[in-house]
Amino acid sequence: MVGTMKIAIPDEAPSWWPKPPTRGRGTSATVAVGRWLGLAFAVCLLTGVFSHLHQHPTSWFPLPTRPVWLYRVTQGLHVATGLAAIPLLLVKLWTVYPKLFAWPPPKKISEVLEKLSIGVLVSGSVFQLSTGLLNTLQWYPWPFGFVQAHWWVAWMTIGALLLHIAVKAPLIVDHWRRPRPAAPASRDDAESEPESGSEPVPDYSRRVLLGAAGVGALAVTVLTAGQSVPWLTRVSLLAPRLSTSGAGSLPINRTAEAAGVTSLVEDPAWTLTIDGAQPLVLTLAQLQAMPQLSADLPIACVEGWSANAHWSGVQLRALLELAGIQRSQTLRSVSLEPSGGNRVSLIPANVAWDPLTLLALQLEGQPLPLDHGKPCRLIAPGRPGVSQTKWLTRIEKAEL
Amino acid sequence: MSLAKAFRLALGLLGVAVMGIAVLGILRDRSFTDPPGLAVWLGAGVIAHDFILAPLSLLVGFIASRLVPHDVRHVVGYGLATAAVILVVGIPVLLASHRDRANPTIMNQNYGVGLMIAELVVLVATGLTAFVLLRRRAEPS
Repeated sequence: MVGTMKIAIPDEAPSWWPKPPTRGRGTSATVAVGRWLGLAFAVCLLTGVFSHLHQHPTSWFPLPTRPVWLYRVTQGLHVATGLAAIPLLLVKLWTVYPKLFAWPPPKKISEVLEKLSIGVLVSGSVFQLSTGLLNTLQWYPWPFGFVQAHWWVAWMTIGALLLHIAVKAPLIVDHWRRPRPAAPASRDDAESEPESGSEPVPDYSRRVLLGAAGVGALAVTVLTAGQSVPWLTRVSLLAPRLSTSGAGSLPINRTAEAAGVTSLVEDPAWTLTIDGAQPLVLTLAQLQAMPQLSADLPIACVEGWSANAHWSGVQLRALLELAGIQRSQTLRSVSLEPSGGNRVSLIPANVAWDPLTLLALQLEGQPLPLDHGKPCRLIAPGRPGVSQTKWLTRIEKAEL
Repeated sequence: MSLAKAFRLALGLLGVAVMGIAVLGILRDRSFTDPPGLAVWLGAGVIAHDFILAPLSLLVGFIASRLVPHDVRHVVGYGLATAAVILVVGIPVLLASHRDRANPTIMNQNYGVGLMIAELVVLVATGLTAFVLLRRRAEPS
């Protein structure tokens, strides 16, 4: 038991023990940056859970298909907020860094547990922000699946954050109520420098730290948000993709070659099957002969990029009616892809029957290009791009 | 127990419960989450920050504080912090852009040039602001 261990810990830190400078690192700055970071994590959690529900639909919580740009905004916000949280986290850790080397080390079991929970919080936060950044770059240098790891570590981090807020509640409330420090000799700075005594304390420490966090967050946002905000594409020098439209410049996430469908989509015998009470097997010519509907719908990827495009094709609900499929029926779209996570995706009933849900045959007035899902793809309003099955071959019944 | 204290306790217990659920989830989905690999990455992040990034930025801050006049230290602080954050985000972007990839619509900017431009803008803006501030202070009012 830690509580009963007899280890002689000297009152003074040994000479080799690192002593980072504590100047300019007030509790006030920690709390103030913490508020912004906490808010950023809350936004990431809500938008992240929303995206998770889109990819794992439930029968008890059908997600809205309007406005058509809803997922584009929530997922763009998820990624932009996560990126902006990088400077906030770095500044927050900077303000508490000397506490890592606080002497004497914790002795009581409650202190040890509290330190451990902070360790979980820091490692979870660093993990979430760095894996999220690498995911936007489609770079996966790790042995685990990104989606499952990012999902569960998110909950681990949020749990540690709730515990952390509970432990620090008195400090937070204290600093929340207090008026902002105005005079150089405010209680704030005096309190944050308990050891330095007579040393003059710069009154701008809190302002500089908050300012640096703010300027850093702004810089990261401007440099990357052009992947989902079209008018920022010119300045987003570090955006992994640009939010550009047009048949030649609309980004994609997965090429036909990577999906292994290049030869399959060229097959003249390609048909689309709608598997209902009266099954339909339609050739491309038959689909083209049906009434065509056009819609401007965004492609919005889980990686945060998004762009609008003009799609034309057959309304899915028209085909479902012909095939005698019930309005409450959950469906599944199947791709020509031989394997992989993108081969099938669930279509909840409210999405399937949405008047804007198309089996698109054209992009910007041209036949669907190979990488955009030739000859036919699903495109529905307000959904993640990963669920908008490309190289479609079959729509069938499924369960949630 | 006061209401505030009870609320605090409940919040703390909720946090512990959520962490517990997360650990169970990681173990349940272990074929995807690879718990040993995940643990290595969780630990590596903390070590990379606490023992590489933080000491390095402390060192830069220390050198800057010796070289930069006191009056403009806050401006230089903003500038260096921003330049550092842009590096933290930009270096992975730059490295990722040099990997082999079949998809020409991703990582399709020249990130080396972009990173250099971004850093130059920040450093030049910082230098100019510091210069103007120092000139203004030097003028007799």
